[in-house]
Amino acid sequence: MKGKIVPVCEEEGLELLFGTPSEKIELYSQALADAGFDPLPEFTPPDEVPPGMFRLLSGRAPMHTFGRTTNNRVLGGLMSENEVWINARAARSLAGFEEKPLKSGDYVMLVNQDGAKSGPVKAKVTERIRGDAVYLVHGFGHTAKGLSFSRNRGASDSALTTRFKVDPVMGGTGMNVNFVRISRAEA
Amino acid sequence: MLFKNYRTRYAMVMDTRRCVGCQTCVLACKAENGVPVNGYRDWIVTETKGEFPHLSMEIRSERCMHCTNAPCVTNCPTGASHFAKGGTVQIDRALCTGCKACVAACPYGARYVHPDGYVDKCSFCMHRVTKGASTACVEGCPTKALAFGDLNDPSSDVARLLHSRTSKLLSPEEGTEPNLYFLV
Ligand code: SF4
Ligand code: SF4
Repeated sequence: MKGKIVPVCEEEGLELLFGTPSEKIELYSQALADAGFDPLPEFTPPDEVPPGMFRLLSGRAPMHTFGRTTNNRVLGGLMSENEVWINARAARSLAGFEEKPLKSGDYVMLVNQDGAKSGPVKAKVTERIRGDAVYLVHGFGHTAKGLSFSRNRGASDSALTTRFKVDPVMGGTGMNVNFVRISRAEA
Repeated sequence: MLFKNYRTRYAMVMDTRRCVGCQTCVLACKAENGVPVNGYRDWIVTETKGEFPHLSMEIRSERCMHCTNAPCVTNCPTGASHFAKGGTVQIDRALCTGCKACVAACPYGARYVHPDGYVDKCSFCMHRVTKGASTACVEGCPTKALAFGDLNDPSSDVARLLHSRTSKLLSPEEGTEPNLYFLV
Protein backbone atom coordinates (compact mmCIF):
# COMPACT_ATOMS: atom_id res chain seq x y z
CA MET A 1 0.00 0.00 0.00
CA LYS A 2 1.38 3.38 -0.95
CA GLY A 3 -0.18 6.78 -0.40
CA LYS A 4 0.93 10.34 -0.50
CA ILE A 5 3.21 11.09 2.44
CA VAL A 6 2.19 14.20 4.32
CA PRO A 7 4.21 15.69 7.16
CA VAL A 8 2.51 15.21 10.52
CA CYS A 9 5.02 16.93 12.81
CA GLU A 10 7.56 19.73 12.82
CA GLU A 11 10.47 17.31 12.30
CA GLU A 12 8.86 16.10 9.08
CA GLY A 13 8.47 19.64 7.78
CA LEU A 14 4.96 20.41 8.97
CA GLU A 15 4.38 24.16 9.01
CA LEU A 16 3.21 25.27 12.45
CA LEU A 17 0.35 27.45 11.31
CA PHE A 18 -3.27 27.40 12.45
CA GLY A 19 -6.38 28.01 10.36
CA THR A 20 -7.11 31.32 12.09
CA PRO A 21 -6.84 34.82 10.60
CA SER A 22 -3.55 35.35 12.47
CA GLU A 23 -2.43 31.75 11.75
CA LYS A 24 -1.71 31.50 15.49
CA ILE A 25 -3.63 30.13 18.46
CA GLU A 26 -6.12 32.89 19.20
CA LEU A 27 -7.02 33.33 22.85
CA TYR A 28 -8.88 36.45 21.84
CA SER A 29 -10.93 35.60 18.77
CA GLN A 30 -12.16 38.42 16.56
CA ALA A 31 -14.25 35.88 14.63
CA LEU A 32 -16.17 35.02 17.83
CA ALA A 33 -16.60 38.69 18.67
CA ASP A 34 -17.96 39.37 15.17
CA ALA A 35 -20.43 36.50 15.61
CA GLY A 36 -21.69 38.08 18.82
CA PHE A 37 -19.96 35.76 21.33
CA ASP A 38 -17.40 36.38 24.07
CA PRO A 39 -14.09 36.86 22.23
CA LEU A 40 -12.25 35.58 25.33
CA PRO A 41 -13.58 32.40 27.00
CA GLU A 42 -15.56 33.47 30.02
CA PHE A 43 -16.20 31.17 32.95
CA THR A 44 -19.84 30.37 33.51
CA PRO A 45 -20.26 28.66 36.87
CA PRO A 46 -22.28 25.43 36.87
CA ASP A 47 -25.66 25.30 38.60
CA GLU A 48 -25.46 25.04 42.40
CA VAL A 49 -25.98 21.56 43.85
CA PRO A 50 -29.42 21.47 45.53
CA PRO A 51 -29.28 20.63 49.26
CA GLY A 52 -29.23 16.89 49.97
CA MET A 53 -28.22 16.08 46.39
CA PHE A 54 -25.01 15.41 44.49
CA ARG A 55 -23.89 16.40 41.02
CA LEU A 56 -23.85 13.22 38.91
CA LEU A 57 -20.59 12.73 37.03
CA SER A 58 -19.90 9.83 34.71
CA GLY A 59 -16.91 8.46 32.90
CA ARG A 60 -15.24 5.32 31.56
CA ALA A 61 -13.33 2.40 32.89
CA PRO A 62 -10.40 1.28 30.71
CA MET A 63 -11.76 -2.23 30.06
CA HIS A 64 -15.24 -1.15 28.98
CA THR A 65 -15.98 0.54 25.68
CA PHE A 66 -19.16 2.57 25.95
CA GLY A 67 -22.11 0.40 26.95
CA ARG A 68 -21.27 -2.57 24.76
CA THR A 69 -18.57 -4.57 26.49
CA THR A 70 -20.04 -5.00 29.97
CA ASN A 71 -21.85 -8.10 28.71
CA ASN A 72 -18.57 -9.70 27.56
CA ARG A 73 -17.75 -12.42 30.10
CA VAL A 74 -13.99 -11.78 30.10
CA LEU A 75 -14.16 -7.97 30.25
CA GLY A 76 -17.18 -8.17 32.54
CA GLY A 77 -15.08 -10.31 34.86
CA LEU A 78 -12.66 -7.43 35.36
CA MET A 79 -15.51 -5.08 36.27
CA SER A 80 -18.90 -6.75 36.53
CA GLU A 81 -20.88 -3.89 38.06
CA ASN A 82 -20.28 -0.20 38.54
CA GLU A 83 -20.11 1.57 41.88
CA VAL A 84 -21.29 5.00 42.87
CA TRP A 85 -18.29 6.93 44.22
CA ILE A 86 -19.02 9.15 47.18
CA ASN A 87 -16.64 11.25 49.23
CA ALA A 88 -15.83 9.73 52.65
CA ARG A 89 -16.70 12.88 54.62
CA ALA A 90 -19.94 13.36 52.67
CA ALA A 91 -20.86 9.72 53.32
CA ARG A 92 -20.49 10.24 57.08
CA SER A 93 -23.06 13.06 57.11
CA LEU A 94 -25.42 11.62 54.52
CA ALA A 95 -29.10 12.31 55.28
CA GLY A 96 -31.07 9.13 55.94
CA PHE A 97 -27.96 7.18 56.95
CA GLU A 98 -27.61 8.55 60.52
CA GLU A 99 -28.33 5.21 62.19
CA LYS A 100 -26.09 3.13 59.98
CA PRO A 101 -23.47 5.17 58.08
CA LEU A 102 -22.95 4.30 54.43
CA LYS A 103 -20.04 1.88 53.86
CA SER A 104 -18.30 0.73 50.71
CA GLY A 105 -20.20 -2.25 49.32
CA ASP A 106 -23.64 -1.17 50.63
CA TYR A 107 -26.26 -1.08 47.90
CA VAL A 108 -28.05 2.22 47.28
CA MET A 109 -30.60 3.67 44.87
CA LEU A 110 -30.07 6.89 42.94
CA VAL A 111 -32.96 9.22 42.11
CA ASN A 112 -32.42 12.37 40.06
CA GLN A 113 -34.06 15.79 40.17
CA ASP A 114 -36.79 14.62 37.77
CA GLY A 115 -37.59 11.42 39.66
CA ALA A 116 -35.62 9.11 37.32
CA LYS A 117 -34.34 6.15 39.32
CA SER A 118 -31.48 3.70 38.87
CA GLY A 119 -29.88 0.94 40.90
CA PRO A 120 -29.38 -0.87 43.14
CA VAL A 121 -25.72 0.06 42.87
CA LYS A 122 -22.82 -0.53 45.25
CA ALA A 123 -21.41 2.48 47.09
CA LYS A 124 -17.69 3.19 46.95
CA VAL A 125 -16.78 5.46 49.84
CA THR A 126 -13.53 7.13 48.80
CA GLU A 127 -11.27 10.14 49.17
CA ARG A 128 -10.88 10.25 45.40
CA ILE A 129 -13.88 12.52 44.75
CA ARG A 130 -15.01 15.93 45.97
CA GLY A 131 -17.84 16.16 48.49
CA ASP A 132 -20.60 17.61 46.32
CA ALA A 133 -20.45 15.13 43.43
CA VAL A 134 -20.88 11.39 42.89
CA TYR A 135 -19.43 9.36 40.03
CA LEU A 136 -20.57 6.37 37.98
CA VAL A 137 -18.74 4.38 35.31
CA HIS A 138 -20.89 4.42 32.19
CA GLY A 139 -22.26 1.26 30.57
CA PHE A 140 -24.05 -0.45 33.47
CA GLY A 141 -27.61 -0.68 34.74
CA HIS A 142 -28.80 -2.33 31.50
CA THR A 143 -32.37 -3.55 31.32
CA ALA A 144 -32.29 -5.31 27.92
CA LYS A 145 -33.05 -9.04 28.23
CA GLY A 146 -30.50 -9.94 25.56
CA LEU A 147 -27.66 -8.70 27.76
CA SER A 148 -27.83 -11.85 29.82
CA PHE A 149 -24.70 -11.18 31.89
CA SER A 150 -24.72 -7.42 32.43
CA ARG A 151 -28.47 -6.91 32.80
CA ASN A 152 -29.47 -5.40 36.17
CA ARG A 153 -25.89 -4.90 37.31
CA GLY A 154 -25.22 -1.47 38.76
CA ALA A 155 -26.77 1.87 37.89
CA SER A 156 -27.24 3.59 34.55
CA ASP A 157 -25.89 7.13 34.29
CA SER A 158 -27.87 7.41 31.04
CA ALA A 159 -31.16 6.75 32.82
CA LEU A 160 -30.28 9.51 35.29
CA THR A 161 -29.27 11.99 32.58
CA THR A 162 -32.70 13.45 31.89
CA ARG A 163 -31.26 16.93 31.29
CA PHE A 164 -28.36 18.27 29.30
CA LYS A 165 -26.94 21.66 28.39
CA VAL A 166 -25.87 22.93 25.01
CA ASP A 167 -22.72 24.97 24.51
CA PRO A 168 -23.99 28.20 22.88
CA VAL A 169 -20.87 28.57 20.72
CA MET A 170 -20.03 25.16 19.27
CA GLY A 171 -23.19 23.21 20.09
CA GLY A 172 -21.57 20.48 22.17
CA THR A 173 -23.67 18.92 24.90
CA GLY A 174 -22.80 18.89 28.58
CA MET A 175 -24.33 15.92 30.35
CA ASN A 176 -22.91 16.17 33.86
CA VAL A 177 -25.65 18.63 34.80
CA ASN A 178 -27.96 16.28 36.68
CA PHE A 179 -28.35 15.87 40.42
CA VAL A 180 -29.09 12.74 42.40
CA ARG A 181 -30.25 11.80 45.86
CA ILE A 182 -28.93 8.65 47.53
CA SER A 183 -31.13 6.28 49.49
CA ARG A 184 -30.52 2.80 50.86
CA ALA A 185 -31.67 0.00 48.55
CA GLU A 186 -34.37 -2.17 50.11
CA ALA A 187 -32.88 -5.61 50.78
CA MET B 1 26.39 -12.93 25.40
CA LEU B 2 29.87 -12.51 26.83
CA PHE B 3 29.43 -13.37 30.48
CA LYS B 4 27.92 -16.77 31.02
CA ASN B 5 29.42 -17.36 34.45
CA TYR B 6 26.27 -16.40 36.34
CA ARG B 7 23.10 -18.24 37.18
CA THR B 8 19.95 -16.93 35.56
CA ARG B 9 17.64 -15.18 38.04
CA TYR B 10 14.36 -14.29 36.36
CA ALA B 11 12.63 -11.28 37.86
CA MET B 12 10.02 -8.71 37.04
CA VAL B 13 10.11 -4.97 37.61
CA MET B 14 6.80 -3.11 37.79
CA ASP B 15 6.76 0.69 37.50
CA THR B 16 4.00 2.06 39.77
CA ARG B 17 4.58 5.51 38.23
CA ARG B 18 3.82 4.43 34.68
CA CYS B 19 0.91 2.08 35.36
CA VAL B 20 -2.55 3.50 34.68
CA GLY B 21 -4.45 0.46 35.96
CA CYS B 22 -5.93 -0.45 32.57
CA GLN B 23 -5.70 -4.21 33.30
CA THR B 24 -4.41 -5.06 29.83
CA CYS B 25 -1.80 -7.19 31.64
CA VAL B 26 -4.61 -9.13 33.31
CA LEU B 27 -6.42 -9.77 30.04
CA ALA B 28 -3.20 -10.58 28.16
CA CYS B 29 -2.42 -13.21 30.79
CA LYS B 30 -5.90 -14.69 30.74
CA ALA B 31 -5.82 -15.04 26.96
CA GLU B 32 -2.26 -16.38 26.83
CA ASN B 33 -2.62 -18.90 29.63
CA GLY B 34 -6.27 -19.91 29.24
CA VAL B 35 -7.06 -18.71 32.76
CA PRO B 36 -10.66 -19.64 33.68
CA VAL B 37 -13.37 -17.01 34.15
CA ASN B 38 -13.11 -16.61 37.92
CA GLY B 39 -9.35 -17.15 38.23
CA TYR B 40 -6.58 -14.60 37.94
CA ARG B 41 -2.82 -15.04 37.63
CA ASP B 42 -2.22 -11.28 37.86
CA TRP B 43 -4.31 -8.45 39.23
CA ILE B 44 -4.28 -4.71 39.96
CA VAL B 45 -4.07 -3.11 43.39
CA THR B 46 -4.83 0.60 43.80
CA GLU B 47 -3.84 2.30 47.06
CA THR B 48 -4.87 5.84 47.96
CA LYS B 49 -3.27 7.85 50.77
CA GLY B 50 -4.43 11.11 52.28
CA GLU B 51 -7.67 13.05 52.43
CA PHE B 52 -9.32 14.84 49.53
CA PRO B 53 -7.87 16.92 47.91
CA HIS B 54 -4.42 16.07 49.29
CA LEU B 55 -3.99 12.61 47.87
CA SER B 56 -1.47 10.27 46.40
CA MET B 57 -2.17 7.01 44.68
CA GLU B 58 -0.16 3.93 43.83
CA ILE B 59 -1.24 1.38 41.22
CA ARG B 60 0.45 -2.02 41.19
CA SER B 61 0.19 -4.93 38.79
CA GLU B 62 0.76 -7.94 41.06
CA ARG B 63 1.34 -11.63 40.44
CA CYS B 64 3.32 -14.53 41.91
CA MET B 65 6.68 -13.07 42.94
CA HIS B 66 8.64 -16.28 42.27
CA CYS B 67 10.14 -15.97 45.74
CA THR B 68 13.72 -17.13 46.29
CA ASN B 69 12.61 -18.44 49.69
CA ALA B 70 9.13 -19.61 48.68
CA PRO B 71 6.83 -20.82 51.49
CA CYS B 72 4.52 -22.36 48.89
CA VAL B 73 7.32 -24.72 47.88
CA THR B 74 8.36 -25.65 51.42
CA ASN B 75 4.72 -26.20 52.46
CA CYS B 76 3.73 -28.31 49.46
CA PRO B 77 3.40 -31.92 50.70
CA THR B 78 3.57 -33.55 47.26
CA GLY B 79 6.45 -31.71 45.60
CA ALA B 80 4.10 -30.28 42.97
CA SER B 81 5.26 -26.73 43.78
CA HIS B 82 8.94 -26.58 42.98
CA PHE B 83 11.82 -24.36 41.90
CA ALA B 84 12.59 -24.48 38.20
CA LYS B 85 14.57 -22.77 35.47
CA GLY B 86 15.89 -19.32 36.30
CA GLY B 87 14.82 -19.62 39.94
CA THR B 88 11.12 -19.51 39.03
CA VAL B 89 8.49 -21.33 41.06
CA GLN B 90 6.37 -23.75 39.03
CA ILE B 91 3.56 -26.22 39.67
CA ASP B 92 3.55 -29.79 38.37
CA ARG B 93 -0.17 -30.29 37.72
CA ALA B 94 0.15 -34.08 37.66
CA LEU B 95 1.50 -34.06 41.24
CA CYS B 96 -0.89 -31.40 42.61
CA THR B 97 -3.73 -32.84 44.71
CA GLY B 98 -5.41 -29.43 45.20
CA CYS B 99 -4.87 -29.54 48.99
CA LYS B 100 -4.34 -25.74 49.08
CA ALA B 101 -1.45 -25.80 51.61
CA CYS B 102 0.42 -23.49 49.22
CA VAL B 103 -2.56 -21.14 48.92
CA ALA B 104 -2.50 -20.73 52.70
CA ALA B 105 1.29 -20.36 52.80
CA CYS B 106 1.61 -17.65 50.13
CA PRO B 107 1.54 -14.19 51.76
CA TYR B 108 0.63 -12.52 48.47
CA GLY B 109 -2.57 -14.35 47.50
CA ALA B 110 -0.95 -15.36 44.24
CA ARG B 111 -2.62 -18.75 43.82
CA TYR B 112 -6.11 -19.93 42.93
CA VAL B 113 -7.70 -23.34 42.51
CA HIS B 114 -8.34 -24.21 38.87
CA PRO B 115 -11.75 -25.80 38.16
CA ASP B 116 -9.85 -28.92 37.01
CA GLY B 117 -8.66 -29.50 40.58
CA TYR B 118 -5.06 -28.30 40.61
CA VAL B 119 -3.67 -25.05 41.93
CA ASP B 120 -2.55 -22.48 39.37
CA LYS B 121 -0.61 -19.22 39.35
CA CYS B 122 1.74 -17.08 37.24
CA SER B 123 4.47 -19.10 35.53
CA PHE B 124 6.47 -16.08 34.35
CA CYS B 125 5.31 -17.35 30.91
CA MET B 126 8.18 -19.87 30.78
CA HIS B 127 6.65 -21.41 27.64
CA ARG B 128 7.29 -18.04 25.91
CA VAL B 129 10.52 -17.10 27.65
CA THR B 130 12.28 -20.35 26.65
CA LYS B 131 11.45 -19.42 23.02
CA GLY B 132 13.07 -16.00 23.42
CA ALA B 133 9.85 -14.00 23.91
CA SER B 134 8.86 -11.99 26.96
CA THR B 135 5.83 -12.59 29.15
CA ALA B 136 2.33 -11.84 27.81
CA CYS B 137 1.73 -9.09 30.38
CA VAL B 138 4.99 -7.32 29.54
CA GLU B 139 4.20 -7.42 25.82
CA GLY B 140 0.61 -6.28 26.35
CA CYS B 141 1.26 -3.31 28.64
CA PRO B 142 0.59 -0.10 26.68
CA THR B 143 2.56 2.12 29.07
CA LYS B 144 5.66 -0.10 29.32
CA ALA B 145 5.15 -0.33 33.07
CA LEU B 146 6.36 -3.93 33.17
CA ALA B 147 9.79 -5.40 32.51
CA PHE B 148 10.95 -8.99 32.69
CA GLY B 149 14.39 -10.51 32.45
CA ASP B 150 17.48 -11.92 34.08
CA LEU B 151 18.49 -9.98 37.17
CA ASN B 152 22.00 -11.43 37.00
CA ASP B 153 22.56 -10.04 33.52
CA PRO B 154 23.63 -6.41 34.07
CA SER B 155 22.46 -5.43 30.58
CA SER B 156 18.89 -6.69 31.09
CA ASP B 157 15.97 -4.26 31.38
CA VAL B 158 15.26 -5.41 34.93
CA ALA B 159 18.86 -4.95 36.11
CA ARG B 160 19.11 -1.51 34.52
CA LEU B 161 15.81 -0.33 35.99
CA LEU B 162 16.73 -1.52 39.48
CA HIS B 163 20.10 0.13 39.14
CA SER B 164 18.72 3.54 38.16
CA ARG B 165 15.41 3.74 40.06
CA THR B 166 14.18 3.42 43.63
CA SER B 167 12.32 0.20 44.22
CA LYS B 168 10.50 -1.67 46.96
CA LEU B 169 9.37 -5.21 47.70
CA LEU B 170 6.01 -6.22 49.13
CA SER B 171 6.07 -7.59 52.69
CA PRO B 172 9.85 -8.10 52.80
CA GLU B 173 9.45 -8.94 56.53
CA GLU B 174 7.93 -12.27 55.48
CA GLY B 175 11.43 -13.31 54.43
CA THR B 176 10.20 -14.70 51.12
CA GLU B 177 12.74 -12.73 49.05
CA PRO B 178 10.31 -11.96 46.25
CA ASN B 179 11.52 -11.36 42.70
CA LEU B 180 8.87 -8.84 41.73
CA TYR B 181 10.18 -5.33 42.33
CA PHE B 182 8.04 -2.21 42.37
CA LEU B 183 9.50 1.08 41.16
CA VAL B 184 8.20 3.96 43.25
S1 SF4 C 1 4.38 -15.20 45.57
FE1 SF4 C 1 3.35 -16.85 46.67
S2 SF4 C 1 3.02 -18.46 45.12
FE2 SF4 C 1 4.61 -17.06 44.32
S3 SF4 C 1 6.56 -17.99 44.96
FE3 SF4 C 1 6.02 -16.46 46.51
S4 SF4 C 1 4.93 -17.67 48.04
FE4 SF4 C 1 4.97 -18.93 46.20
S1 SF4 D 1 -1.12 -3.23 31.29
FE1 SF4 D 1 0.49 -1.89 32.13
S2 SF4 D 1 -0.55 0.09 32.51
FE2 SF4 D 1 -2.16 -1.46 32.22
S3 SF4 D 1 -2.61 -2.16 34.32
FE3 SF4 D 1 -1.07 -3.58 33.51
S4 SF4 D 1 0.88 -2.74 34.18
FE4 SF4 D 1 -0.62 -1.10 34.43
